[in-house]
Amino acid sequence: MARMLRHMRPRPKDLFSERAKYERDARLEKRTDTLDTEDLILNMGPQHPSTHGVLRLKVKTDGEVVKEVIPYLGYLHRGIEKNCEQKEYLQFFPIVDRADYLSSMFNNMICTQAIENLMDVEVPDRAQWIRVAVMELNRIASHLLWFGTFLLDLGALTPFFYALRDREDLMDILELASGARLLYNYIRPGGVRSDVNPAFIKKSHEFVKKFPGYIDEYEELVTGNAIFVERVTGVGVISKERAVARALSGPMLRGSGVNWDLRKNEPYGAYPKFKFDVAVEDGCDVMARYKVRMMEMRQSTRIIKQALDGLPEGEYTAKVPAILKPKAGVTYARIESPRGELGAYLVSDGTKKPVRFHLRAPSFVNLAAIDEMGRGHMIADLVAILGSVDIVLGDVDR
Amino acid sequence: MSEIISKRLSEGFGGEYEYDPAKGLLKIGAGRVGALAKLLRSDPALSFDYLRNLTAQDFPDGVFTVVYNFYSFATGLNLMVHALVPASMQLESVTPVWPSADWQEREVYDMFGIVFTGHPDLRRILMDEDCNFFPLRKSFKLDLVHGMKDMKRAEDDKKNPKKAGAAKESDG
Repeated sequence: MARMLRHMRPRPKDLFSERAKYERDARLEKRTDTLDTEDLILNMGPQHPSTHGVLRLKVKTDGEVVKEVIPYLGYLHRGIEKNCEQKEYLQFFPIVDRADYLSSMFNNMICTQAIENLMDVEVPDRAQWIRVAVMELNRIASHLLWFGTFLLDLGALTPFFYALRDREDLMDILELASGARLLYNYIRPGGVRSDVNPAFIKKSHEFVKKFPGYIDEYEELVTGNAIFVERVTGVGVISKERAVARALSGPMLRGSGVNWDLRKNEPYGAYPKFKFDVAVEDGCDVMARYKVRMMEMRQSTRIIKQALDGLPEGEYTAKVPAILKPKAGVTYARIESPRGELGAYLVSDGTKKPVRFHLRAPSFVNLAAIDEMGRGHMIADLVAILGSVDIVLGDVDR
Repeated sequence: MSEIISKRLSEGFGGEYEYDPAKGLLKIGAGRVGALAKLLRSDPALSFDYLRNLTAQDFPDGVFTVVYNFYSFATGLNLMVHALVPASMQLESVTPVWPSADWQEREVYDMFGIVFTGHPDLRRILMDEDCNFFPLRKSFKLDLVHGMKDMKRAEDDKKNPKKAGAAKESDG
């Protein structure tokens, strides 16, 4: 052995030769190459629990630092837009319900809004008030599920049970109104499908009374928690200018300090008659988005209370023909869904089927910023950032 | 409000266009998107900074239009633009001007086959990369979807009806 080593060891005169120097440098260079600069490609999804559905993220990492995020979509693409073109107007409501399945009242509302833009129909006040009430109930339900799963991603198990316990009440309430727990098919052109019953009013009143206490409970559990604050502050930053350039909307935009809420800025339905504040935070990070959503739940409770107290008497729907034929024309309707600006681009030629129906999905547009927000962070932070975008894959892929 | 748009358009935008202030709808001819984007974004009286929606439509007569919805946080203006797509199916990308167009243009390419020149990464986004069809075109019939694999066969059958039966049997 010793003989062998002696044989391999370069002779002293070689150590300082040009050739030896060259070899040493080459070895060193190779070592720095292999140790420091090789990218690892990591696939998150499509079955990763923190993607809340079937999203695949191809993540280029250097050690544990994210260098690039490339999302691959389409695992849940069902061709909703194409299907809608084949159907009569009322027939496509149940299909669009399945786009953003956690807030399907808003999907009903956006179709209704687009169709009503092209029709002469006077919606009764009672229907407008009911719409506002059920939409805000749905907004809270959606935010609650976000709250639970977002914290689950961060490793906190308890809030998930709290959130689902209270969401259960909301599901019951919405079932009393529409007969369904998740896909409501309730808001219709002209009004709503059926009138609300006294049990709905009673249970909603009870909910509104106790829910602010629940939010206090959540905040006590989470907001001041040192581990939580450490994980989310300064993570996933997107500046005000970039948020506008990227056309983010909803809590993503308001978390970056832009005071923009379609309920206030481009009011629709009965919203101008309700008093509420728009939640805006200028932290631009995950924490800011968290605060915005918590604040929104409180504001939604306020709106529901006003809607229940001031619920006008009268018809719950206007008289509309069984087969809808909106006037020929083009419209872009938009409403504020829990995820941001939910838009519908509708082209009608006066027949009973639309020529073109496009859903502008807030999750889709918001998710496009994930690369920009995730670069330079740890992989574990990427999970937090993805949670803060609050995507629903049904909405992204349609 | 809309007077500002029509005034700025007549001063700064050369070429064919048709503006309807009542609907807030601007229609432009083929190949003028780049010039319009520059005007809409950089003109201080307009400064449309928020491209909220981008999609396309296929009218039954085979004319494709790309639809843009703009909003301006600075001036509070709203505008819908219909840009005619030339027969070459190529249109200038607005992604360098409005980054939010990135994925939405990819979706339009995916669904309609409209190619956006100058887009940094134009790939299919929702459909499979191997697809050879554009589903939201009116020429794409939905009844073919029920057997995706049958689509090519159906096309072949149309070309030579004699072999139609034989192909089915051999797949059996």
